[in-house]
Amino acid sequence: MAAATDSALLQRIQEGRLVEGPEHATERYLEGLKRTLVVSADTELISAPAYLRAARHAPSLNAYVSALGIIQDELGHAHIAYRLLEDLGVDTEALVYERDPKDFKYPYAFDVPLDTWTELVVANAFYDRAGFVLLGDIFRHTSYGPWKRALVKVDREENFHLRHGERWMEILASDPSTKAELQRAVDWMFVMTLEWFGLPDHLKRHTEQIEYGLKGSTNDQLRQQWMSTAVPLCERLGLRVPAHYDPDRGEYVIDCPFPAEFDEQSKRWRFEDGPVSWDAVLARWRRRGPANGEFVEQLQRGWRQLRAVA
Amino acid sequence: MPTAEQVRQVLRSVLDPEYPVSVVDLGLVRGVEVQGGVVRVRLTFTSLGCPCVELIQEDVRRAVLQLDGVEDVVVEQVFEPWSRQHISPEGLRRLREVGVV
Amino acid sequence: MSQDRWTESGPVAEALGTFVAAVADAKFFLGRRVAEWSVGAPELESAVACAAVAQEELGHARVLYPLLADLPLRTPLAPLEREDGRAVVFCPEFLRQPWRSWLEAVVGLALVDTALTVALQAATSSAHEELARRACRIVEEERFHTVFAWGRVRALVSRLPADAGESLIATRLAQVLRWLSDATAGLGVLRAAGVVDATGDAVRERYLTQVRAQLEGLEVQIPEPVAAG
Repeated sequence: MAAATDSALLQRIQEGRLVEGPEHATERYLEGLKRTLVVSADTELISAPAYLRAARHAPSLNAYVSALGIIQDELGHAHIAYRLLEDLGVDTEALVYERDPKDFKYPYAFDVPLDTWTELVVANAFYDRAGFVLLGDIFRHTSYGPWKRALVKVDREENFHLRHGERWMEILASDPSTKAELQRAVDWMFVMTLEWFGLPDHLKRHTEQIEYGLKGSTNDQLRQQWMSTAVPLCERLGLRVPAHYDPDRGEYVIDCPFPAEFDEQSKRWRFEDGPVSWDAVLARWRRRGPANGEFVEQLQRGWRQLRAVA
Repeated sequence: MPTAEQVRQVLRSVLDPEYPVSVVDLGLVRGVEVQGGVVRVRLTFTSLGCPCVELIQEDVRRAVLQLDGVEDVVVEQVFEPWSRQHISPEGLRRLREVGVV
Repeated sequence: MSQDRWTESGPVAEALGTFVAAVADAKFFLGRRVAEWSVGAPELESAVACAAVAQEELGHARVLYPLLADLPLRTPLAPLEREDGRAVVFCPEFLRQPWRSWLEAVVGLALVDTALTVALQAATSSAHEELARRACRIVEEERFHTVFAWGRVRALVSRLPADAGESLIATRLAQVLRWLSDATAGLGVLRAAGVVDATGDAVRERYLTQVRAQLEGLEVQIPEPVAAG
């Protein structure tokens, strides 16, 4: 279906004109675009079971309704991304409902179940912020027109998720009895989000993805961007995080062994073992985490029930 | 003490948490009363299941409290109908910009 | 006849308390159950719709509960903030546990939601203005729920072997009718006080008429429900 030559595609992108469909693209570009879209769609989709599981513990009716509003947004964003994939000829019904859980492409963070309301609101403040940073980057830099236009709405809705997370973190931080639990959630979830941004630039440069307008910034730049708002938030609330701003270097510095091994049972980073290799992290990601099977099964259950009887 | 019009003016700075449109332009403000140092703001919501009810009420309260002479703000939820017809032309223009309508 | 009789302790206040608590609790639990199917609906459009409908059901409970606080009830009724928030709740029993199948979800939503809307329609021109305003806005929002819920029931039952949907609908309908009978037991008293404009019998009759009309399109045979009570 791709109909453009590589040089015509590159010229188009360099002139700042958007790719509107396969007629403007190469096969290689479309494959890269689909990969990026699948990661984005899967990430939005899996956040629904992850957040719903923890929302059961909402302390009030208002709190539960807010959590549900966020889940609705995430499902809507997933729907938008899968629709874009469908327009590119992907069988999204099979992709969503028939895929093996281990083949989903969302970040490992969502495989670690959120067990409390506290962990849910930290996820809204940390994970949704990571989504906001990543999608914001795509919104500003993507060369694919249909995605760029779809992301205007997504960007605004994620803004509400961040505010919800921050508001609840403020409430929990204001009382010593809830602040301790909040700090425990921050302890594992902060580093989990740092890891989300992936391999550092010295191990993987995304020159091709950037050249073709599939992303705009490198992993390290995006990680910095996330820290530039997440760290001040935590500092303002009197929460300890293993990162600080270094004015001499003009950037945030991570103060713990990174990347590290994660103990899934106790939800704790094994900093005492020192930093591990990114190969070890990638291996953990490939194995997937504890909730992977459960979450995907939940998402697919209605579809499977219908297939069983029809 | 502010006038009702001054209160409405400050409410134009209170944006909906999801869309860059003020609660006034979105058609949510259904009455402003000033009595002594107490300001009463009547709000309706786009849906009774709106997930942002608490955020919007807090934002309204905070904004009005900044006005000189205001001692207390009472936000009252009325249950008047809301539909697209209640969005101001300016609100519609902004929503079109962000691809919502 | 004083139109403020719900402000004094007595039969009107008690009947109104029973009615509002039953409707609000049912909406609360309906919202929780439907929310659970925002994960697991067989297509994403339905998943999004479940999340939206659930928020509105919970939102309806949220605006109805404060009416209870203003009533001089013999036994005060606290709003539900969580599922385990009160020792006694007044919703159909099958709303208390997660629904295991998508069929249960759409049948449960369609049957319960329609009953709640019919019940609240009786209060849209209530002399109790706070109740009337809320009831009007709720009934207005319910239009989409009705279209969504019965649309899903229709789509599903046409795909299933005939007896699967039919027997579940019959069971659930009987359960909703039993609950509705309790919830509307005091409507005669409330009607005399101008709080509602229909008796319990009239509400149940309207409900059955609507359900029959929705099911007729489905060609599902529904046994005549055993008279409630």
